[in-house]
Amino acid sequence: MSPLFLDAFLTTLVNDFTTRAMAEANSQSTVRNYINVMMPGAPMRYMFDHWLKTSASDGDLQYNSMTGNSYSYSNGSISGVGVKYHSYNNMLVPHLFSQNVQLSNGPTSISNLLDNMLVIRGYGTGVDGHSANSAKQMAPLGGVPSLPGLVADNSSKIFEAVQAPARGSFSSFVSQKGKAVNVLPINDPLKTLLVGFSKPTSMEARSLKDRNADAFDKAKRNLASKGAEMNTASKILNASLANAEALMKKGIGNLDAYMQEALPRYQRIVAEAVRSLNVDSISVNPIVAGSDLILNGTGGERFNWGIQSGDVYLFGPDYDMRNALTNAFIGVYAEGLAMAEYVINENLAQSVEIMATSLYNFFVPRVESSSGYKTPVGAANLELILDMHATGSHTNVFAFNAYYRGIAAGLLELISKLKAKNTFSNTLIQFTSDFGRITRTSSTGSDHGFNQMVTSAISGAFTGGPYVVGNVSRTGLNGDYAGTQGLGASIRGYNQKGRPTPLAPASTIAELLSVDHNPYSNLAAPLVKIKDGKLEYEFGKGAIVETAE
Amino acid sequence: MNLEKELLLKLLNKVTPYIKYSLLTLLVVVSPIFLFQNCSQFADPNEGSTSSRLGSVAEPDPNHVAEAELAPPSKQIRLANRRYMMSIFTDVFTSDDGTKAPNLGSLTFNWAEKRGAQIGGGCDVNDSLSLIDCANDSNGANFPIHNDSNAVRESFKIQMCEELLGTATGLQIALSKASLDINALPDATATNIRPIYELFYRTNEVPPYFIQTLLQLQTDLKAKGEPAKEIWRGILLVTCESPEWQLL
Repeated sequence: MSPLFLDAFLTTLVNDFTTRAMAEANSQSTVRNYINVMMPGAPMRYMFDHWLKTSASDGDLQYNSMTGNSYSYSNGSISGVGVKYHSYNNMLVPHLFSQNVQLSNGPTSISNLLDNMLVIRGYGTGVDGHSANSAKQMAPLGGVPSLPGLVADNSSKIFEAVQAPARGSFSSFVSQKGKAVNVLPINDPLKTLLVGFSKPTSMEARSLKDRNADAFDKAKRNLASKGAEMNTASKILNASLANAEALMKKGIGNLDAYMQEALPRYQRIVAEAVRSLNVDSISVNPIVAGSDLILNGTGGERFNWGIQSGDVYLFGPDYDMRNALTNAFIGVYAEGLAMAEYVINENLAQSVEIMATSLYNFFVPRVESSSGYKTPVGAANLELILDMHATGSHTNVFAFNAYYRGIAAGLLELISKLKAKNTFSNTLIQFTSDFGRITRTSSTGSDHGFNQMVTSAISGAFTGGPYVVGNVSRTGLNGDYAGTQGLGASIRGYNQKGRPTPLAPASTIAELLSVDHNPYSNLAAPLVKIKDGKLEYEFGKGAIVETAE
Repeated sequence: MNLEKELLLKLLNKVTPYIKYSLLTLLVVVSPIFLFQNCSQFADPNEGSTSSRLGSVAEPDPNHVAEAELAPPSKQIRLANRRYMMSIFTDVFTSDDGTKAPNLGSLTFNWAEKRGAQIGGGCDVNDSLSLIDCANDSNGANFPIHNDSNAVRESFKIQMCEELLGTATGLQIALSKASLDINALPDATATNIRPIYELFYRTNEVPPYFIQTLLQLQTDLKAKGEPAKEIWRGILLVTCESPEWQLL
């Protein structure tokens, strides 16, 4: 063989490898922005994104009132809990999507989320544990990056990844490029992130640079270009230095003004959505259990009105629960949304992890107790924790419809701000929690649904929604856990046998994020792909199957 | 005769493209055979293979195409972590008699020691000083030992350089570590720039382009009327802020 041909062949090969390695090192990629919203504790999600029946052809569900999303009435009084659907684009979705919320630019329908929404359901880990299950959804496979790490590895933005507040063992950030997530306190996370780009306290050196900017720029440019000729590492390092200097020159002068405007805006929008009443089939009529039931009810029936807040509470006799939301709010959600809007729209980071925690300030007046339940000492503003074991079906409908109204309002406001800067089309927002719920037939609460897991993705990268993937069983479990509740089931033709694991949603999300290489797809194929701006089901639309096999 | 020559040339011109195509076809068809003939590891051992019969497994031929080891660059660069950064700044800005630049401890803590997330270097939760090392946050224990290049760590480094060289005492100490007296500063030369470079680059020889760049900076700053102290502050600043000294 011709030595020249051989030489040319090897040179081409090595150049190709080198180019790819350089591209990787410089993180040149078209990965989408990724915002993960975690709801720690695992709230029940049937009224938001844990969809069960999505079309008439699914047939009747085996009803479990803990999956309800509205009240039924008899003579003006609440007689029970039911499921109310909203039909959108040939899909049945929960009653929440027929409601409106008020954004900074006026009222909007929550159904505006649906065009860009995908629900991934019907997977599980088979093992209990709050933090472990949460972390498994973020990092479902050892030896490869986690979802936020994958985005960071493919990103060339100034900040690799940001997380606020710290998730601790509830998340696992894994990068194959040694990148680390910037873990920020929820109290002013942006200031913590950007502190290095502010002016130094001692200005002698900065002044010298400023008044001789040309000379210093020339020197640095020369060092960078000569250094790059010497080795690749120098090129990478000087790129980071140039990024830092560019942001220092640009300044972060708009940060304080932004936060002064944005944080109260998100807080107001989320709180208003939580607190608003007159929601059809929920809060138009008084929500009163009646003193007789609360004080003298027997068995588990009164705990249909139970509230999980550390201990278990019942509210006072003849109390109209609509008064409970007067000062209610969702913890840390607004702060995270404000941060996400800034870092995405200012092109600072592509991997963003935020949280939405409990519903706080749920007001409960004193209960004159009989035995069997706890009583607040006097009136109390309770924290409705998301691990809602003893939040009964009746309280759940009212309190968590309000919670998800706040979640949806904050999300819609964020999306409107991303759209205004043309960044929504390149952004995916994912909602995760530790696991789903396993619902009690007695309507007294719910437990850990580690085989009933669900996640959802909202992205401007596709339209034509809503979409749903993943199969769920029509039947529940034995004993007090009967009824349709999202128990995961196998998918015909899928490369995971039996109930899919968190690899399936992770692979699907990675596909939607448009990463260079999906590290999960060999073990779990993406359940959808984007084609012509719409989603295509790779293994069919999510279905209800007769048994979870 | 001339006619014969002309005809011969015409014939050759007609035939040449065919010869070219034939040779090219031969190259395309045959070259993969040459390239992959030695891939015995992919062959079915029961069928036998040419390469096996040639004994290439037992006696590898270093000049053979498929034996040539192509080594694409796959290693990550490794950068100094927070402890190394803190040590360098502490050393450069502590004089031989123990005098420290103003706020040296708080500056290195603020911009290096507590920045494991950006600079790398997890804290030790089992250390007896873990409350200080981890700042009461065990998340810090999971930071990687080293971190990749990023803009945040560069901003922290720039902050430290500007803060420490932005005071008279800090500048004086750094100059003294390079055997320069702030009250009698000479012009910068290749000789006296070398110890400045070595303050930060502990294992490297100063490259000529580095010296040339700093000498040019001196010329430019002089032309702008900057005094010697500011010129040396500038030389130190550019060296301190240059990122390659973090390479391990």
